Amino acid sequence: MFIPDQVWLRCEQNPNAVAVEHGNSKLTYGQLADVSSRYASRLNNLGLARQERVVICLENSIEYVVVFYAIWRLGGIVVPVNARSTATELALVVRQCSARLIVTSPAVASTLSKSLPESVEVETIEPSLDLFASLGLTEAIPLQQQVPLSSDDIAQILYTSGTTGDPKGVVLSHENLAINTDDIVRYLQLNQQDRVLTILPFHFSYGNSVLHTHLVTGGTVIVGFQMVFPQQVVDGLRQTKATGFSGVPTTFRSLVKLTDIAQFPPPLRYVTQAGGAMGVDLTQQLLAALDARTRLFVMYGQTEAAARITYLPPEKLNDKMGSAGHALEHIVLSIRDDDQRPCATGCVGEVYAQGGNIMQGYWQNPEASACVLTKYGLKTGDLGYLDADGYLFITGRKVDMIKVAENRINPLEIEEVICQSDSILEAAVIGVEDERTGQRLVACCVSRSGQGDSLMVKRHCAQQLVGYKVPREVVWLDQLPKTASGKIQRFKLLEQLQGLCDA
Amino acid sequence: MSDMEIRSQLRAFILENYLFTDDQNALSDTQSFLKAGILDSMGILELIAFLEEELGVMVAPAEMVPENLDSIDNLMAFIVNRIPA
Repeated sequence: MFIPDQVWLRCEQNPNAVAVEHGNSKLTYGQLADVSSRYASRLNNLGLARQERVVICLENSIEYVVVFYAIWRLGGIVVPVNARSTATELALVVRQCSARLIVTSPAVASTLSKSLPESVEVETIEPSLDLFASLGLTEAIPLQQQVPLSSDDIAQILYTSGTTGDPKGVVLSHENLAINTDDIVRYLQLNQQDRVLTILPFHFSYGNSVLHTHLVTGGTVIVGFQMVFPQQVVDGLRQTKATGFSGVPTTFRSLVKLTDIAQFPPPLRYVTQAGGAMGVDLTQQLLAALDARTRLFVMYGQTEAAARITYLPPEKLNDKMGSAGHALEHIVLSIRDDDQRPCATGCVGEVYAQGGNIMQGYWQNPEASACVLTKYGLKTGDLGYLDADGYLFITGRKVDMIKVAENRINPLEIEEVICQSDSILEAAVIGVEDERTGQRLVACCVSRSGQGDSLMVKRHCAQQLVGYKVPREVVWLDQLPKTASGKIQRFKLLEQLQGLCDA
Repeated sequence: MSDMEIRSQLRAFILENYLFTDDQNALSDTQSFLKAGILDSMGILELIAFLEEELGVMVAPAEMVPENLDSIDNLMAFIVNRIPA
């Protein structure tokens, strides 16, 4: 069964159970079915057809979930994007996936009008206490039936920083999601009593997975908390009687360092960690801070794999410390060299993952898809090795991606934006080690006039790019180190910067 | 340091690092950093590091709440009597 069918079944079986909770507002499963079928009818009246794309640009909220499942009810394709995206970024995605409709807040909608193609309709939602009013549903008649889905129907497109230039749309079918969700539900042993508090944005593959895995099992997803104030998250875990929590390494660094979680550990059944490797020190600090009964799952995955590839069973955590775990039930992992020949046990190569969860490809980008979809499955771009028991250890990344907190960033995208400015001759963006966020962005710029305005560079980036892509520092150089063929040598830049800092 | 100097240091920190300008009109003292999208979870950590390292004000976990941190005025009320002489 596909995810929407599973969730509708939950709605029938257990209409009074709470599906989504936001402060004092609760959406029961019965209401989820009712309101999303009414919203589906509204979308139907707007002419949305099967497999047409709808961009959702909303913060985590009850409305987000309702709109999401309404689109699926019609057989539409959901394209969730960061609610903090700039108008430029949003317009790029809308054009790239030829979206029919965009659902967003009035504030974002007001910035968009000029940059969108005329064929795109904009629906605005102002979250309020009255869900019917905020969705504009006062007279809509529910769309009774789920439009029948087939296994290769596309469920969603998740945009990710590609390895070259523009963002890429990861195309996931209903089957991809169903297979991965099923594996995750089984190893986390999720059930109807589970209440997960999530601070991960739903547009992000990990947050998307947290949402659907809990809805298919009839559990509750608690939204409305942000890591900006970590103590409020810990207080929230206690007040809402959450049983589960999911985060990325920076989340846990904040919880361990900036909250009283260790003095009064909330009674969680499980905690999951993904979104980048977490150091052994931090993992041990987190374990020490959590209640002894809390099961900590270290996991590894990629958007291209619908979310998850491996997980480390909590009972193996000490034994296999530093490992990303073993392959999920429906995945075959292999480590291969540059000629795609298998590497021996313990030898480092590139990680490949094969299984029914691997994406269909990048939206309308056959060249990029062909680069990563091989006969051995998804070529992840991550380097690592398998030990004799089949446990994966990630050692690095093959391509020039930068990871700031949980965000994968392609430096080329930022370099292009910086170089739009006439005063910049050339620029390279690199990731410098940072104790708080793993890496931080530093823009190395060469000015035409010899004089650089760092604030101007940052301001220009902030106008075009979402906040986490704005370089934290700008350094001015006379020239960038390059190979004979003119390619920027990022490792040399990093050495140069190190030299500047040490001096 | 006088209150006015502290206020101007805080303003300069926010303006330069999150609004990327030295235009004083870009930030009002009552503006919520969160509502305006000025600070996110990484930004708040940097702000706390700034308070601790530059101004010598230690922030306990229970004090990391919007009432203390979420605008220039809130910050001033929170730190003004805590800066070491």
